[in-house]
Amino acid sequence: MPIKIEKLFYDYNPNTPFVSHALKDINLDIDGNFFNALIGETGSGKTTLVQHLNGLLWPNSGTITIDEHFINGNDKKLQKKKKKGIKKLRSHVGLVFQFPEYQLFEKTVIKDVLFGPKNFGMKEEEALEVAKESLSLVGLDESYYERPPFELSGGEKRRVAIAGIIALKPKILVLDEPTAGLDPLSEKEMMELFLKIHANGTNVILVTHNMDIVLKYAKKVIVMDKGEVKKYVTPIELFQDDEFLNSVAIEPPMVFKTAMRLKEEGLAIDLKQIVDISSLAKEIARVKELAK
Amino acid sequence: MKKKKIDKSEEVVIDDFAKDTAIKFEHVYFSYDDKDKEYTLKNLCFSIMPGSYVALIGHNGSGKSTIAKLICGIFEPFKTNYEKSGIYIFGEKMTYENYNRLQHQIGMVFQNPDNQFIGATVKDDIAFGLENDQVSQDDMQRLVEEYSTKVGMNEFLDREPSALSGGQKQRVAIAGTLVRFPRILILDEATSMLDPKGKREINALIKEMRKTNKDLTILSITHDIEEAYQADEVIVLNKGEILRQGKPSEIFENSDDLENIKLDIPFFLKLKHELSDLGVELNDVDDLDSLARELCQ
Amino acid sequence: MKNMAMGRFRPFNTAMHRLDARVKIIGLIVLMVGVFLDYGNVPLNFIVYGLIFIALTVMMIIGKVSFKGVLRALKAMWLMMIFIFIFNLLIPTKTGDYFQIGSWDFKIYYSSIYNTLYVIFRLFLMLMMTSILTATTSPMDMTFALDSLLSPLKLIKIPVSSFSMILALALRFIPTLTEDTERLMRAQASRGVDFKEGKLKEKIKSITSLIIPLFSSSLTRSGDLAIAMECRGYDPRKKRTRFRKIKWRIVDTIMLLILLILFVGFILLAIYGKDLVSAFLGLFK
Repeated sequence: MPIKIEKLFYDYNPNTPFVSHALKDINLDIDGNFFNALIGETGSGKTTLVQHLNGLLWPNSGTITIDEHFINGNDKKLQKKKKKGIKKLRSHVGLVFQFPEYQLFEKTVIKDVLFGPKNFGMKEEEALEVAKESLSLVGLDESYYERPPFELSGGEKRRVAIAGIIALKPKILVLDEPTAGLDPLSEKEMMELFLKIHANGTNVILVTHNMDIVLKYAKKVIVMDKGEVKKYVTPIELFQDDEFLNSVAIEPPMVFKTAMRLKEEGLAIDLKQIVDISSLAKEIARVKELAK
Repeated sequence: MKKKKIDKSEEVVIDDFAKDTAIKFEHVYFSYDDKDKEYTLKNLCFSIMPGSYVALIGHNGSGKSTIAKLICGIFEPFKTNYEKSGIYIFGEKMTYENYNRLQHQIGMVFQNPDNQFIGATVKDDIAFGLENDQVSQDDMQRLVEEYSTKVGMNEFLDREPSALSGGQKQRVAIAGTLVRFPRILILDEATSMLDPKGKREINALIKEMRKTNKDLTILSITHDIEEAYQADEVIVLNKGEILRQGKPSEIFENSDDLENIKLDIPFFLKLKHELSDLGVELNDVDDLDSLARELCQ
Repeated sequence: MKNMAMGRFRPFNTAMHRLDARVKIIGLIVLMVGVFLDYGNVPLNFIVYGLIFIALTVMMIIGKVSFKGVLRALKAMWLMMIFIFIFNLLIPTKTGDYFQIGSWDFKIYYSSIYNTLYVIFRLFLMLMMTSILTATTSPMDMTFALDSLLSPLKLIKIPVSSFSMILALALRFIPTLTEDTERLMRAQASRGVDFKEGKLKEKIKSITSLIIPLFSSSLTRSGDLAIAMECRGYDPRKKRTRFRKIKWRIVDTIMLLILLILFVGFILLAIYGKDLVSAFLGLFK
């Protein structure tokens, strides 16, 4: 039971005329080893929910359990003491914001990656070790260590920023639209990177608008709409549910749309096999072969 | 670049070899750093016909945005020994003296919706260019009304940018540009920071514009291969050089060189190629219907 | 929270909103003069402040300006007020009546209490005035008004329109930069920064981790903005027309006249106020 959320409510500007109900009765139980996607239209509450996971926002009511950490939004007195243990939670759940390259500020790449671990009280040598490890994980070698972050390309900066979070050794990594603004090639490289991080034993939650990514990489997908979690299913289940997708203004990826259409027209395609164009092509070829 | 006052008597010199083009690059070199041996753009030659819709594709860092900035005169190409080298707008070579006037024919829409929202509200932003052009107040009211309607923002005239979505801000930017009647519209990754809904909005708007304003030349710098496929022409840029230019069908049908530089190709073509590798041959598919028809006969 | 902040423009259509922004700015200046003049007599000072306070309250009600914002801003300055009070107590050159607490050998002059009260009242009235101005005047109108009021300076080659453009852009980008800051604070908090606690050295580090990225993103924004403006034909040296229609109405003329009378009134009161009070008191002798 790594993440369990119960009856979570959150309002912006509570008790004022400007109140907006950002999250409404969120119940979510994320189990086991996961690489999940969180999707929904802009303003559906994705980013707000994600900021609850490492204690940046505190629920108005409801509870969040993340491994051994427990956030109790029902206990008003506790709010005052919330700082206790919250720091631990912040390193337990690493949160990478959208366009994280904007948060770099140190003179050199290595110093910037060291910043987080040091804040969490890691010893100098240990932190250096971890920082180097994280940088090599994101694909930046020694030659980058002493370079100023501002000199790097956009994609490289983003890798440095992600390394800065990985260096906290989080058990859960939450990424808010990590591929936004990247060209398709860098996007692919970035996704491979997350798979690698996941393979090293970190659970991943990916906030994204890109349905191709959802189909190809996510084990399960959380769908949010107007502050509520509407579904928590596998991508294949989700993309087959036309009516639901329409209601939350989400378009299935082209690959899946094509597969569905072909299936409707009578081709015996196994939707479970479809993750990207290559697998779609293989499946079509297989079905065609059988038909002969 | 320093600005000079436009001399009313200034002569318009149209070069013969560029006279039928909207934009022509003739052996253009450019680098951001004088000391840098590596050119951002090297020996760039291409032309864009008036009224056409051209997509410029390539990876980040291939020099796409630099081209846009050169066209609207923010940067100046390097001087070369070849006398004709330079940038031509409707046949007229862009120089120190005339660039202000030429710039007036060019509208730019940029990537970041926030950083190009100049006015305090939607209507102020659309009017900004008109104020610069010293349009009279009554004309301004009329034009703002007309163009905000064109981009579907007439109900939000008094909204501040913080109360708008990214797609809405980009629509305002397009209106604010078109309201000055440019002959060339450059979209510099105008949809890349938007969510899918915003992207759909802007793409639909561009489609609409092409229908209603046939004389407008559009150069769209984009990562969206599906959008590029809809263009009249595609220019592929790689490391500051033109890899290919041609009709989308030509460019993407023979896509080995695109795949070499790891550029994507449109979905249906890619599927077709993959299928053909697996021994399933298809003739013409460019949408879901034709694919379904061919496969399910 | 953002919406509740003091002085944020609130787009209603009240009489205060409709008033010409130039009149409002002139009004601000006149009332400020009224608040800062010394009428030479303690009760008279408080009477004038009281009248101004009543007038401003009426304006706030008409203009639907939030009182809470002003109070909150005042609350934020309590430390400063205590400081002013102590400072006033310690200023040695005092005359007039004083009292002592118990057997303590420290004289507390009434004048230092009055002086502190003056400062607090002036501050409070100033906060009221500026929040009325900014809450009922859109940034666009404000820049136009400043541009128009300062236009005589154009004669001595001061680029007034450039200044007002800068002001307009600054106002336009305040919400954007606020958003940037909030996001950045959260992003750095996720990297273990604690903005509230920590030693001085750590605090400096946390502030650096905010300021540098903010600075660099603002630079990017302003660079982009400059290019966007240039591409839409902006040239600071060129004349521009104005999209916003601004109508000077009779009400504005009347208000301007009232302000003029008020201004003269304040000055006269400051000069002859003392005599006036003694003459007035003389009636009862």
